[in-house]
Amino acid sequence: MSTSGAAETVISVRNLRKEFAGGSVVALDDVNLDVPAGQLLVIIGLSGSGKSTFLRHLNKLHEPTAGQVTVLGHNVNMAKGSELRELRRDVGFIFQQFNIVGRLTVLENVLSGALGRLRGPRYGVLTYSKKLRREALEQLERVGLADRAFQRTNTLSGGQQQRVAIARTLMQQPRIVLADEPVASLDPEISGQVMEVLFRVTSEENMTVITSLHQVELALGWAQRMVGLRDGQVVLDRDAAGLSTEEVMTVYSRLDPTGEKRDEYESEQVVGA
Amino acid sequence: MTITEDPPVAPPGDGTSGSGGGDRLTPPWDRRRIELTVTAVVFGVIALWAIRRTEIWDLGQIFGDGLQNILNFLFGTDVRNGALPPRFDELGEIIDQAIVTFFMAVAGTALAAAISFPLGFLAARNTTPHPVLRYIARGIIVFARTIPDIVFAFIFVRVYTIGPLPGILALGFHAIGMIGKLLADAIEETDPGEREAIASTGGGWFQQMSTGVLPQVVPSFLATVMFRLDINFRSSTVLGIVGAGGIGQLFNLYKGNLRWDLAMGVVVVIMITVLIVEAMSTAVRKSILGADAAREPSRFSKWIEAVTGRSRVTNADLAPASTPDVRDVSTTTGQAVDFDRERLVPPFDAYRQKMAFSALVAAVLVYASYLITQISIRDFFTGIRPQFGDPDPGQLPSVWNIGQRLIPSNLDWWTPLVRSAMFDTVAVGFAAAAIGIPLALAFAYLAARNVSPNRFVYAGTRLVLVLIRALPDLIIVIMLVTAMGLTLIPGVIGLIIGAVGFGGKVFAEAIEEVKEGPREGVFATGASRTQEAVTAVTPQFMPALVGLSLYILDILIRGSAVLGIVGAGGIGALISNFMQGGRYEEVGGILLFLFVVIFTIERISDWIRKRLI
Repeated sequence: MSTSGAAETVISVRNLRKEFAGGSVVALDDVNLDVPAGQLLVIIGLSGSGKSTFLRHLNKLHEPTAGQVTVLGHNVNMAKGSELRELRRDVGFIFQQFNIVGRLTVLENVLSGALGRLRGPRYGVLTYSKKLRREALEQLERVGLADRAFQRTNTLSGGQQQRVAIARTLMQQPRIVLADEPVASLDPEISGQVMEVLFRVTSEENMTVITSLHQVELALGWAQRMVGLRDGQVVLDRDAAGLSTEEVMTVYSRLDPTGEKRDEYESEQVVGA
Repeated sequence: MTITEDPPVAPPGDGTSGSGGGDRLTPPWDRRRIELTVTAVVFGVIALWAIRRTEIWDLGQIFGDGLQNILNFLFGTDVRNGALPPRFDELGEIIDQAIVTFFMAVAGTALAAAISFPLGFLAARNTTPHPVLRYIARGIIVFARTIPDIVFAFIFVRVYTIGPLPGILALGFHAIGMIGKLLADAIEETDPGEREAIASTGGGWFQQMSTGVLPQVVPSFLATVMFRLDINFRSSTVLGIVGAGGIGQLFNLYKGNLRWDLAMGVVVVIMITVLIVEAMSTAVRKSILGADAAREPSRFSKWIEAVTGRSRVTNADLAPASTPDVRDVSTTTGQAVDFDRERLVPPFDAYRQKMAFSALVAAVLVYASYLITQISIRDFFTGIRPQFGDPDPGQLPSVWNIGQRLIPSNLDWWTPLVRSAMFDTVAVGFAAAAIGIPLALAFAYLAARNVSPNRFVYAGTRLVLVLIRALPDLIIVIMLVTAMGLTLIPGVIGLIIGAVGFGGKVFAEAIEEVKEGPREGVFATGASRTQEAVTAVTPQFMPALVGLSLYILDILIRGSAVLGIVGAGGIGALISNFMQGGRYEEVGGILLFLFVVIFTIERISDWIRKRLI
């Protein structure tokens, strides 16, 4: 099922099920997936199909209702304390809303990616060693923002903020990068640039990447493997090579003829309201 | 020399130029960073001076003799009875007085609301009929806020003698400072469009106010009034110390007889009633503003809510970072409601029933406060009659008379003694802030439900904060003065305790407002809980921390100004002495001085807030 059959499996998901609101919403339903090292995998699917929920299980931002998640040899379900920190350090996560700390300088946001390697809290750029600061600046250079190092992050544009978030993730020196619709808040042109940066730097270091993405053309251009989710179930799992746009679009075809869709967060939010 | 458009070229090696930014690893010394550093150093130096002057650094004095004296005071010695355990010999009388005190607070708050309402419209830039009226109204508001209620009480007791009436008037006048200011600010923040819409249909000024402005400010006004009722009740419990009625008078009586066990019984009743009133005020505010309406119920929420007035929420599984805040959901639903198409009156639904009921309860409470405190409207008007020259012997002076005599005719009051006392007052406030604010911050991280390690720590810390806040600062200071003697130390300790109670609560609430997204981003890098609290929570909370800290400093200096009334030194001691000696001009001079000092500190705070946040 994958081109690099010989590579070690870094992510293994077995019978993953996730319910919200005490079972009234099933976000993931019996998901199985194995990801070999170095693969670039793109998840597609409608809003509410469970893409974010799936990704958030891989570094324990969510806990499964049932099933088994193994990442880099860690049993994610059981990981906590220092084991969870170690796992998260190896698994970078890029968020749709960037999730950078807006009031901090760009450099300090990037430096916060090194916290997993450090003991104790840090406040202010100068509380990090010169070596780490230099490293952070190099990561900023890779995403093209070195000249912004001491600007407040919330003064940057959306695309620039997401590149800061990518630099922060690189600062973790991760083995896996998860990206949850990293460009959904950006316009098409900026989206292309940001994805380009993300794919270039992760392939340079042979990182395993799983990203959810709505831009099918962009996905087909870079992905080695495509996975489609609908209603929490895997409905497509193919090598990207030779896959046509039409085949991919079947994942997006709506079963509901009214075409009314619910936002996935909204469906997770409504709790006994 | 010719003037060019080109920016000046930075000297080589300066490093502040933008192009060199790619290489440098330390933040540039830009204007903001310099200002921030200078401000921090100045405040640090003042704090050190304050700590030295108040001798609060002398730990031997506090933990050696001081602690022994406090223990002796609490548990007694061979020759003296201790304050513990509290005794409730006249519980009936204590409870009666607690009820009177509550209704004093109701009457005072109602008075303040009634005066603040028109004053707020006069003081708001966008609704004032004339700029001159606006300055007068703002002036009254600032003056009312600056002069502590206990000082007002002092003055009114001269006019109306001992009883609840001077207390009510003191609470009422001082509270204008807060209610009037918040109302004026709320009016200035209203959407001008709604008012323009009324104006463009041909509506007059009063119509624009009632239809275009009022609906926008009513919820916040009511919430402010309810909050002030809570604050006024706390204040009213100690006004009796200067004879202005209520349960404080009973405390003073027992204290005068050196029956500290009985006085302690009064303190226990004060704490319990303060907790009850706070819970009531919180519940009503929540109901009016509809906050927390959409919160998820849980096993612990009822219990935690009982302790803290808030329900538990955080469940990472329920709230992905990018969702809108659930609390924004309003109480009124958008659903269509049936109504009588003939009579066309709005249906008396649950919301309207609640509002009508609340209004009825408020009216009953205000009327009951008139009956229960037994104040006389005639006395009130007698007290404000115009009266010129010195009153006849045996006749009470009027408010006008005292007001006139408070105006200093010369600078005789400007003595080294007054200046030194003012330095003491400022030092006590600063020292308490320097020690109390960091302590409050430590409590706040444990008491913020989104950052606290677990819900038991959260509930425990909240409980401690609530109990600390239920104990009026002034009563702590009275007991510490009795135990430790007449130095500045009891005042500083009392204010530190007050700062922890108040600061812990407001800091925690600000921390709870922090956005979850950046926190998740930092957690996802593998940061520990402590690292995340420092890197993701603290920067987001920093503007609130600075703003609230300056506000707390302001409160502490105002609080420190009255501590002398109970023997803890500073300007309050002079006010108290001169007041009792009838030396009104000197009192007036000191109040003017106090006004200038507090007003200056407020201006400086404002400047810092604007520049640095």
